[in-house]
Amino acid sequence: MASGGSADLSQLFTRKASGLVRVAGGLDTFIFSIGLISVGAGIFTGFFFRAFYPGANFLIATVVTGVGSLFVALCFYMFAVVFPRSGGSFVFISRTVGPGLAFPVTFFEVVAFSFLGAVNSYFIVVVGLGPLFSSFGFLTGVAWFNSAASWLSTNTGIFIVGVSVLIVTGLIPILGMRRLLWVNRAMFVLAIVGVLLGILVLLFSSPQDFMDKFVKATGLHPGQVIDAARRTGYSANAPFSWSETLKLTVWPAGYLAFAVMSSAIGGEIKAVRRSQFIGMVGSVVVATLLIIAYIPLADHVFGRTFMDALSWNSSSAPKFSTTAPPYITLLLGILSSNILLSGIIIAGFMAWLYFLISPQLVYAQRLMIAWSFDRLAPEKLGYVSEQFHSPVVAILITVAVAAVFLGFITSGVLPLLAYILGIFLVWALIAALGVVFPWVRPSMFKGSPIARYRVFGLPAMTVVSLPAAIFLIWQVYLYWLDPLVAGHSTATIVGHVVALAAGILLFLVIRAVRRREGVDLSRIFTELPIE
Amino acid sequence: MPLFHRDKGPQRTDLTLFFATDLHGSDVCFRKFLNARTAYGADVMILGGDMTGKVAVPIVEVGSGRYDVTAPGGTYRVDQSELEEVQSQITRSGFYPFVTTPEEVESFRRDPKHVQDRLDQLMRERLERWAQWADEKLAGMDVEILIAPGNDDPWSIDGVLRELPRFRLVEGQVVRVAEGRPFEMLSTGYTNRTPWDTPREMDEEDLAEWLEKLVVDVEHLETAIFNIHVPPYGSQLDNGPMLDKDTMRVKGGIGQQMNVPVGSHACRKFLETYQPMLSLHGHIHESRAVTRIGPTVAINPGSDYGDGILRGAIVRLSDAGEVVSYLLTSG
Repeated sequence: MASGGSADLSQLFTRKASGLVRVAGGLDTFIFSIGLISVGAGIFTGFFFRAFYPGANFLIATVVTGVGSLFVALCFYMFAVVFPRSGGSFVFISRTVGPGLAFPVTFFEVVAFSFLGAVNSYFIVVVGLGPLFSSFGFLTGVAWFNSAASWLSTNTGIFIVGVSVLIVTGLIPILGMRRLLWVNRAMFVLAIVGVLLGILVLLFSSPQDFMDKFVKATGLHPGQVIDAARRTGYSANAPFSWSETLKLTVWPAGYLAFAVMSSAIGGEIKAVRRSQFIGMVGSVVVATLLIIAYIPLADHVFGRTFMDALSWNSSSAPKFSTTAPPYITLLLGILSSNILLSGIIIAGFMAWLYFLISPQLVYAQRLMIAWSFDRLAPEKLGYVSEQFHSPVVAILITVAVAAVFLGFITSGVLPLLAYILGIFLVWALIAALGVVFPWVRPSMFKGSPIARYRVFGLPAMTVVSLPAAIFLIWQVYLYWLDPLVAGHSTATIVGHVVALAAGILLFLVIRAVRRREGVDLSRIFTELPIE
Repeated sequence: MPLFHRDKGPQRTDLTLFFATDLHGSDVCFRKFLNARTAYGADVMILGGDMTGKVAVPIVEVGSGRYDVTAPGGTYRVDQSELEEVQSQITRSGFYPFVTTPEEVESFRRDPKHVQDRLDQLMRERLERWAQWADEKLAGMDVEILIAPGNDDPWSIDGVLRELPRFRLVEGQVVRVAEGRPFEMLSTGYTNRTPWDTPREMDEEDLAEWLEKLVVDVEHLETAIFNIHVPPYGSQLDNGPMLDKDTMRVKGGIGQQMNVPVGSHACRKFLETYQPMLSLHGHIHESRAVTRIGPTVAINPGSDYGDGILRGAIVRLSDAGEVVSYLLTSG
């Protein structure tokens, strides 16, 4: 039969029924997904922390991470196809292993995502606002900007402003969905424009341009900066090292791997599987390419050794670094020589961070609300204000927990990406389940559309989950060894253990309470037979 | 509101009801619904509205044992050996597959009544098959399924449901859910206006009037159950995706879903006024939630029929008019 007219025929037999909406296409899903990856953060963290991995190649590290993150995203995509659209890890694990493990794991996720909200509000101050005021100070000569930048570099300044960012971001949904959508879209435009403008500024600048402006703005000479760094242990011009390059992957992985979230949440935008696949894969690829685009340009204009020395000096020889930490945002701000341009570029990088805070806190809030519906938590946790139509209790809790974590970060108690170690461990568990899923849950698997996809005779789910699991386990190992991101200090270990143990304890208590009330929690996700 | 809602311990005299809704033609979910009775120990089984599928899928025979399957996502060709599996997959998603010929397709294009007749036939056949399964599964048990069609269900199925064994049509009625028990249930599948002009929707004022007409027959509100397909406005049971009204496209956020309340103001006011013990809702599949409107426990168990997951609610009631406990399930 000719395919022309098939759309008519399908329409003829489509009844008037609620919920028949036009699904989000590939572009919408792409935008949805890339907001969760934070291109900006992938750029600035890699450049800043590269100095601490002598001989590391940022470009290779990003490519390796991009490939690994793609498999992780594909693995979660497969799970999202097999399982219901909403619920994320809780549904995956409870239906595969059981709710006894699922609740503590998702409790940990709530803690971890609140922590990430704190991390990204920290970066908004340190990478965004500090460099913004610093750049304005350099460009205008107005002392107040420099004072503000200095204050924003202190622990107190970071904490106070960071908490304010959390409160504002947490409360924005109260404005209403339509306003939130408008704000988000405006921020997205700003984010894309900021990153692209940064590329343009680099393309049309020379190393001499930058150095002249930098010296004029800061009074620091490159020779001084590099010498000071060498004296305090920096390995300038270290030869290429594969092991350091692979260690550096922890930084881009901390952002690129979060393409996973689009599978956990993305089903709710009613994206058909095909467009979600395109959007998710597309967002990982584009994010990786954008990060890669910056590397040779920034290294050429700013000078790799100089950039790294500045970063090194920010902790080891502060007199030979900038007041605001020398993230790439500050360097771009100085290079642009124009307040508006500098403002847009830095604001663009901040916008990438804003996109992370809101979904991370919302994800944690929604898990809490789901617990209250599932009788796994007090009803009050799911309370929604009739005035604001928002889950005010869950919002307050996540913002408060994030604020506490921000205090731990600014005071140096917890490393910057501490809980990502635990998140990767959870995801590694899920990916490992994905490898064996076709055999441990054959009826669920065979009933899903992905069952028909095979690669070299093996289920596609197994084929993508295996490299995903390997990548994540390897990242857990790297995070464990690297004190800059997480490490295994007492604080990191205690933080993880407390989060997991609290989840286990709460589950046991709730289960006992409900049992006495005649409520059998094991029924929540027990699959009903069909025959 | 207390921090913990203290469920009273179960009493032997408590009544357990199981409520699921919005099955949209899913055989898998209906079979699970039948098994829920034993699995959850339910005394009363209530099936909410929107039980018919949204789409029929013509499978056109093109000769040489090949068929063109015209599904909403596009057309693809299969051969005879794949036909049964394809039909099974289509049925699993709640759609109605049917084999036809190119000549019949032309008659469908010419005559809308022919299309409607075929749709009615397919819906009827599926409901008959459900009733047969129910009769087999519930053989020897004094159980019937209380059923109220929803806004998406055409009026043609009401007559069918009345005649089928094990189903008791309760649309527009107040009935006792169990003999010798005080629980009355008011049921209606009407909703407020939707963008899709579905069979059973009306303006808010008319819905308010309709609900007022029904409640007259309720004798004891303190032990009443209101089974109203549309959830109350702004209750968290009614969060639907934000749509572009011109293109009907979902407005995706950046990193998060944009949801807005789409429930009924009339329903909300009705619950606030009459304060039944329990209200059961559906209609918004994504909005699985439990809330309280005054003293009323309001539940929308949601729906994931497309994935073969039966979302439901187990609710235990005491004759004194208390919701002893509730549990949202995903079976």
